[in-house]
Amino acid sequence: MTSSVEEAITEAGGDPKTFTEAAHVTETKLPDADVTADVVVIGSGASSFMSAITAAKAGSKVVVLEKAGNLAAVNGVKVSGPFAVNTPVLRERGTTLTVNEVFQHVMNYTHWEPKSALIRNYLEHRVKRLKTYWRSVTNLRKQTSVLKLLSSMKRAASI
Amino acid sequence: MILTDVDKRVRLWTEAYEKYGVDAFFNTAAKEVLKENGKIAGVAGQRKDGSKVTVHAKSVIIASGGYLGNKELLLKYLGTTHVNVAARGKSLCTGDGLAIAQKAGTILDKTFGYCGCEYGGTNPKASRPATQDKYDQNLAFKFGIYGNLLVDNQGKRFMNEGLLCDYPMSYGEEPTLRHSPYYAIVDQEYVDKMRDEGLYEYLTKRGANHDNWFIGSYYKQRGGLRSLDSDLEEGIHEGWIVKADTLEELAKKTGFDHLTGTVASYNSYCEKGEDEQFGANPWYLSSVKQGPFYAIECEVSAWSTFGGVKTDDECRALAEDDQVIPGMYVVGTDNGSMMYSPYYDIPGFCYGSCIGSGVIAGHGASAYAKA
Repeated sequence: MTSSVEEAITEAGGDPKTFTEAAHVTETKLPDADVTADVVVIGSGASSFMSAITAAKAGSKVVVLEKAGNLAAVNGVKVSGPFAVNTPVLRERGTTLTVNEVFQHVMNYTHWEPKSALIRNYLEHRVKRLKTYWRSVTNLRKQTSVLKLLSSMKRAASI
Repeated sequence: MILTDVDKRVRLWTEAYEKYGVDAFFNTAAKEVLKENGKIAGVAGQRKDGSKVTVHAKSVIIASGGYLGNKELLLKYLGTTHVNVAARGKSLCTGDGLAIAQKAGTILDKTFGYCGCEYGGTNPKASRPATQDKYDQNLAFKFGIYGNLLVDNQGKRFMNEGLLCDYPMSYGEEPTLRHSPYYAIVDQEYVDKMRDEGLYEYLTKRGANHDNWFIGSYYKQRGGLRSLDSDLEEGIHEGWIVKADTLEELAKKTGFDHLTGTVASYNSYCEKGEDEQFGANPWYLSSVKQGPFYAIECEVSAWSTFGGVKTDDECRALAEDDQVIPGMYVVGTDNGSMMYSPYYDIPGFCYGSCIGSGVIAGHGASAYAKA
């Protein structure tokens, strides 16, 4: 389309660049935006989404800035199930893996390298109100498979 | 491995944003954290078309997803640029969050790593590289993870290949990253077995079973790699697989000076049933004797990088001397204090900690903004 217009302009003796460059700018550029919020989140992946929704539920006005053109492009909608302990969905399914068990395993594995209180905080964090989210993650890691993996890791380490 | 349909999650997230009045600006990159009188005051962003998006806010949450799309930072923090995007294509995660945070006065924590792809090797030269689906790729890349002989670019062995197969992320990802690209060395006999039997049948015949081989269930339903012959041909054509009738010829073609010596030692371990160098589980030891021989060039790929801003246990960003920067939070893979290298041995721990840190920061940022 653009090239045929360019040809027509050239044939008429004009400079096609003045048209195409102008057309490009007027077609795509949006006006500047200046907004006010309580919380601004950079990114819209898994952690950003949870940040935004949590802050909004707590009563804050939240704005999200995402580099991609839409949500289908972000990592958070593509990756498989998250690991979690003590979520409503897991409890409903009768699993009993505890924060203590997981925390001790993780800290032994890492020799306490990451920030322990932050790991503990993440594992303990109450997610009662996020039932919808947990239900959306259909393959939430089952306790049995995690326990089996952990025991096989112990075997591997003792070889 | 997509177990939750992308469209479904996109719909759910979109609905959640609408329900709770979250305004999302797309095609918008954050450029700078704004400050007023030394306090956090919002973010200056820019759309793809060049227009500006300015958000005034007391709390800023940085969650830009690491630096997988930034070769310079990959080299700086992971020691190699040979880290591919497991989800295919280019990653939009170019370290923006780290740069913005540092400019605003934070320091980075000291651990850098990656959440590696557990489905095999990959190669940028391949027309069908690793993808999110386990088998929608050139199947020759499976030799980058099946536990067969692997060598570096000198032809020297560099790891216990069995552990890579058993625990691709926690045990496998650091050695393969250090040697990316690394090379699988296999013979025609092994290729035939993988094409006709597949890894599960091959290893269960050698003593692996449901109880002693955790990862086995992964391969159980798969059977042989049926398209292997044509996939190998494709790799040769594309320049990431080298084929030769003899090992000497393979060593010459690849330029791997130590290859023939390495294979001779490795074959002796196979005969003894004991890996005297790295202690690989004997059922993985597969001799390299029957020509033609193949060298398959594999690079690692990643779901995400690890490493970034140092925070406290509430995900609040820290400046030098651990001084909290009020109103500034860092979560997900931009948070440098929560991730570990090599990756955690619990599946889904990265995604779980992204969600968990998001919840922690969401509460904190909201409370701070309203205080």
